[in-house]
Amino acid sequence: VQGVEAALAAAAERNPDGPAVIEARANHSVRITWRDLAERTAVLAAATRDAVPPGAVVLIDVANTADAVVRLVGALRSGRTVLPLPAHAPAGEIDRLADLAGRRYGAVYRSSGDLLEKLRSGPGRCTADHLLTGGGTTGRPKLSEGTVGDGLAGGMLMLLGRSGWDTGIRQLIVGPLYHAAPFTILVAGLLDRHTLVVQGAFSAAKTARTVERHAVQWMQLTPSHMRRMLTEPEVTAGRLASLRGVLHTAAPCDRLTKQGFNDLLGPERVFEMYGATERIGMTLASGAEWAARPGTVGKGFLTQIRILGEDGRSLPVGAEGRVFMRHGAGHRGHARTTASVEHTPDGFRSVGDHGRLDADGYLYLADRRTDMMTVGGSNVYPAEIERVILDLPGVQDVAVAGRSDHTLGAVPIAFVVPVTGSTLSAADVTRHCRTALAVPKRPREVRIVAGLPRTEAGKLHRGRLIDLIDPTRPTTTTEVAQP
Amino acid sequence: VTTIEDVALTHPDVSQAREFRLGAETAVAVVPAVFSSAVEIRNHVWEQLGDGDPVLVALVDEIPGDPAALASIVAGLDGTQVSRYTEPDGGLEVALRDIMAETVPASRIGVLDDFIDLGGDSLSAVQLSTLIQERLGVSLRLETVFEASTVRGLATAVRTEAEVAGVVLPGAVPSGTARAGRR
Repeated sequence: VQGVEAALAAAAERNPDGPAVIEARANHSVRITWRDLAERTAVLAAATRDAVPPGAVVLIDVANTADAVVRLVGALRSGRTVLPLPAHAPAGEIDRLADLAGRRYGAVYRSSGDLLEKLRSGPGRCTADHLLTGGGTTGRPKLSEGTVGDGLAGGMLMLLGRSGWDTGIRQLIVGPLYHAAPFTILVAGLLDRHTLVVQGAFSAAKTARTVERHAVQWMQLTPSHMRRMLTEPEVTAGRLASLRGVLHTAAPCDRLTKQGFNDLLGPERVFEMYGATERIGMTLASGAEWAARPGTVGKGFLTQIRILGEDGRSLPVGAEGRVFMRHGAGHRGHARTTASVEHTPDGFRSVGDHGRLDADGYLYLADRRTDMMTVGGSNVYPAEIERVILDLPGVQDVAVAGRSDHTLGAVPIAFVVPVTGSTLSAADVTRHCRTALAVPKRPREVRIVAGLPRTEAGKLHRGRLIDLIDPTRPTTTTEVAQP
Repeated sequence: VTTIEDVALTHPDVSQAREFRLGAETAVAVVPAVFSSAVEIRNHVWEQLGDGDPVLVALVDEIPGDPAALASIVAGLDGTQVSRYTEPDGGLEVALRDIMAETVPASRIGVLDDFIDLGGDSLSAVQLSTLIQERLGVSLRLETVFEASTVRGLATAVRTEAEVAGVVLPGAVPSGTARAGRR
């Protein structure tokens, strides 16, 4: 991986004894200098190249430790394809991932601690730097290919530069390293000579103490981290004084949490990014912009946004419709010949989110909480129901969506794709749910279907699912990704 | 005889093409294999046909058999689904057109052509912003450059910023003599 090689060599020469990685623990911390990092990862990279053929996929267990960062960087430097996964992942899950990667790419290895074992043999044929698992919350896992350069293209580093990020700062990695956002941000930090601070599993109190003790300047959070930090007494403005910016991503942030963080850090240090793993474009909102326009996810950052109606025509300012985006980097090469998401003839693409623009071009998302429905006052998450249904033998894929209901507000409806040749019936699914789910979570209707509207990356088109529930709404889509 | 349709079909993005009249203009409607840039196809047709008036290009999802129906679809399309070449108006637009030509791969640039359709990306936006600062003495934020998105939009942004910052724009901005926007 070219960028990583150059960045490491430059940092090791410029500041050999400066800290590259810090693991913050309750009573001690582990520090790895740039020289150490460069040397240790060179040894690991060479060993990996010896043992693993080119084009093979290496599953690599990562906890948020200094050791895991070293192993991850070493694996990236080896030129083999890295697939990070949680330490202590259940054997069944590793087996499923190995099957999935093996079918597509041939040889699969696993690096765990000091062990390197072969899981699937054959010639390797993967050309990506890394693979990330997607679709984890709904349906079977999917793999999405990435290269370090691409992940930061489309102005990603420029966007980070607007959020308090700078070259050579101290960054705390909060989320698990096998998730897309923390992984991408770790690599970006490495390329930008950051001191990378890790602290094991997340806790709100620990995060505040780590920021204080190591004078952390930047971190990426999810709204769920933010909610937990706001209810933790140890999280104080004083402990977080060294932060130049916090960027939150990955999920919609509710207003109370957002307001709470604006109050805690001051709006000038809070930033929100909205984007998709398909990298069709992104928006950025500063805390001040959000305060002036509560609910916005910001303006397109080097991204053009268009809101389209169900008939594919542009909607006027203020009208809610489907969000389409485009940016320069995705607008040429193979992108033009690969239909993985919905698109217009001039290259605006959509992952199915709904929203509106105001007169100044600020985007407001709607319906992002289709992920949660309220059934007779209980909050119900489709993902939980989907996980339960996936446990049933004979289920290939599943999606759950809410249908509005006069008395209960909403009721869950399940769309189930059976494994080829299976005799699975709707009644089997209903019976299984009765044993495993509380009453509001049990699907009111189960429909057996041949396929679900998913993108190549495995993300579900929720909008299209809603069209399936209500056949009076016209379906405007052309391609349905068969899993 | 090579028709406009034949030429359009030689572009790798194009799966169907149909020539038609839109008022007084010669136009070609194109169905891309997936998606494309109307500006790029316009320039492709123009170059292949040699000198002559540029052709209006419209990107559509499908081509109806009835030419009147096609014209009515094209009339209702969004900005970047239609490309019509427009000459610069005045020295500032010429200067900005020439700067744009240094930062994007497109061969000919009309003042209403969108930056992304011209093949621009985040790095070309940075370059554009730097060159405008160097040549015209006006400093525009990256976001402003990107939002302006056309030569005409940039001219407006440059005039506005010059006024706010009290910058006098170079009076002797070269007119059309310097370059024809071709590289």
